[in-house]
Amino acid sequence: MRRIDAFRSTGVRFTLLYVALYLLSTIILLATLYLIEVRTLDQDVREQVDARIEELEDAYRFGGIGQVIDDIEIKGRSHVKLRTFYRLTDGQGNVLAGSLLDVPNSVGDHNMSVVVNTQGVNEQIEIVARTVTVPNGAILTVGVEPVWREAINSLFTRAALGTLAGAVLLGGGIGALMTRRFLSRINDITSTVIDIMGGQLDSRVDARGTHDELDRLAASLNAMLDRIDFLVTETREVTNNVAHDLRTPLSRLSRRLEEARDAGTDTIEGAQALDLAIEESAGILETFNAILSIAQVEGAMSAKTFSPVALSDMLGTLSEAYGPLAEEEGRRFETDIPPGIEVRGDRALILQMLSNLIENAMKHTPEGTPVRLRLERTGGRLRITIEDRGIGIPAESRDRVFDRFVRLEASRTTPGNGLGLSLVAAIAKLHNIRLTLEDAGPGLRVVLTFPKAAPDQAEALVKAPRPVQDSTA
Amino acid sequence: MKILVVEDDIDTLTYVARGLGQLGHTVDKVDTGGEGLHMATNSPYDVIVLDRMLPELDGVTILKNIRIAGVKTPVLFLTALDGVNERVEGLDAGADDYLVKPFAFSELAARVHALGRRPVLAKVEPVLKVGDLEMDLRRRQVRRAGRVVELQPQEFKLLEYMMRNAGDVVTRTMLLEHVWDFHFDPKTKIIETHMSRLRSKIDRDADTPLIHTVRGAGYSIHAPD
Repeated sequence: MRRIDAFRSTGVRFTLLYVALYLLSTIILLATLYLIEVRTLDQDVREQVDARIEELEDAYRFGGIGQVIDDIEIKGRSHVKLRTFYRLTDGQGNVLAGSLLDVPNSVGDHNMSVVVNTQGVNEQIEIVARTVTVPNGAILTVGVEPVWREAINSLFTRAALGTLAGAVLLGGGIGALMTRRFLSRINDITSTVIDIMGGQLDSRVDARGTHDELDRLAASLNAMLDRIDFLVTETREVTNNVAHDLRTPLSRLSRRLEEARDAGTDTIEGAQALDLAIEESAGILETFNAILSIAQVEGAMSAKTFSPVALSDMLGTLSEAYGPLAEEEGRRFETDIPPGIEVRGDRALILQMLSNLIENAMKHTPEGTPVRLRLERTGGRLRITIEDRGIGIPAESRDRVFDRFVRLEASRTTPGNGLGLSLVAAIAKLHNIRLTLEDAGPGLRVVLTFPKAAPDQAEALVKAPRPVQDSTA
Repeated sequence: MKILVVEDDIDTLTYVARGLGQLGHTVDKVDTGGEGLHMATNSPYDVIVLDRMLPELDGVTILKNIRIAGVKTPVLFLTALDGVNERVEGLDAGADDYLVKPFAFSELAARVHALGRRPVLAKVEPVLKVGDLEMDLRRRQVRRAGRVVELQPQEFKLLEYMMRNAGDVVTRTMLLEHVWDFHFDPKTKIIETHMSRLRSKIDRDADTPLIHTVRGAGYSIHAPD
């Protein structure tokens, strides 16, 4: 899993980047210094050249061209140490004095490479020169070799090399130190992840208490891990429940089939046993379908099937469907449904949710008592209330009844698989409907509070957080 | 009727084809999507039973292609998926009815019959008649032997659906879907309650009952033989 490939390591890359940045800034600094230095020294040399020319012009004014030639002869010898060289030619290009050979006759400033003859030795040098015309038509060139250049260059080269080494050492060191600190925390996270993959689901990332991005990352990771842990536990519980709840019907099924086999399928007993077996398997299938439905609703992250649902009409239909049934069983079905109310949602799912809740209420309300179904608008929100006169649900159990397979002791004996309310909860969540259980004294009141209708409600619903199951109300 | 069954599970295919054959239908069975599409578009059928999940070419694609090819044969979709999205997708693709697996054969047979009759149903019939029972759809009035019977709206819908499928078995699920629009099975005796009320209004004072319970399958309305 972990690569030791140096260039893939974030640490090495960070360090290199750090060194590179350090170097770059140092080089820019050095280069600036160098340019300023060179310019200043260049200026110096120009001033030297100008001074020599002025001296020779003074000599001309004082003693004419002859004086200039004499001066050059004298200076030429003594100025070799100063690396100052001269050349004087007449109008026709004949050399009158000086040791510079081969200088262009054009007037002006020159930076050039020339040959100079000192004591009979020819030498190629770089000079900074100026060429002027003397009033009698002769041409004078004075050149100074900027000997400092070499010194400066070597100085700066040494400085640059030193800096480079310093940058590599210092930058690398600091970079490595910084990234190691950073990476050790990343590695903490990696090793936590590896631990978790290895089965240690309770492993968590340590926070350093620095409240920086990495601490926040660690906190988010831990929160995510807690959530996953919760879901895994929940899934495990559900799986256990599924296995547990199906064991009874499956063993009954197997017993019925044995009975049928023993009685022979052509006998009445055999046929009855087979009928019961078929019924049993239908019940098992139903449980599976219910689990699948819940999974599908919970997995439905899209509100693409949402459309306007005529809620009033739907409730009317439900009351027409269930009213006669309630009457038949000696119960009453009372409704209070204002007309013309619409919501956005999945029609089939809302219908199923309401139907489940109504059937639940009908199952629990004693004979002679009513089930009440009410639709109202309070504070801009739609509320559906379904109320029975049964024994209700104790406050401490109200959160649990929405979990899969939970059947409270009181209803253990009635038919059902404990999945109806889980489906209701899943559908309510999908629609961002708040599901509240209240005490109807006596009985249970289920309140469905619809979200405030927004123009693009359908989109809002998808991103809505888990609905609150208010058990304190 | 001539029926095409497309289903990749050989067990189900044999079971369905044999059952429909025993009811006197001519059944062609194929177990691949490609063959199914070929058969459906090249020979005339009264009803096509199409599995949704087929390897290679799935049911929705076949269905779309059948409809693109201009074949208007009613299609019954078999699906293991009972989600609203799946249902909508199937019906959008051009299915006429769908049935969720696992299903009882009687359920399938009833739906195939209902689909086979559909072209006749499509005609606007202002009055439905079964024996001496008459339903005037325009005036929304029901008469048994000339005497007006008062029905609740849902009882009327229930009776209308039964009468449109007169002579055939209609199952509980078909009634739940078409009369109440319930695409799930309520745990209470809704159908039984409404059916018994309807019967008491239609059949109680008459000599011969018209509504019959078909044990293990559903209900049927038909005139006395």
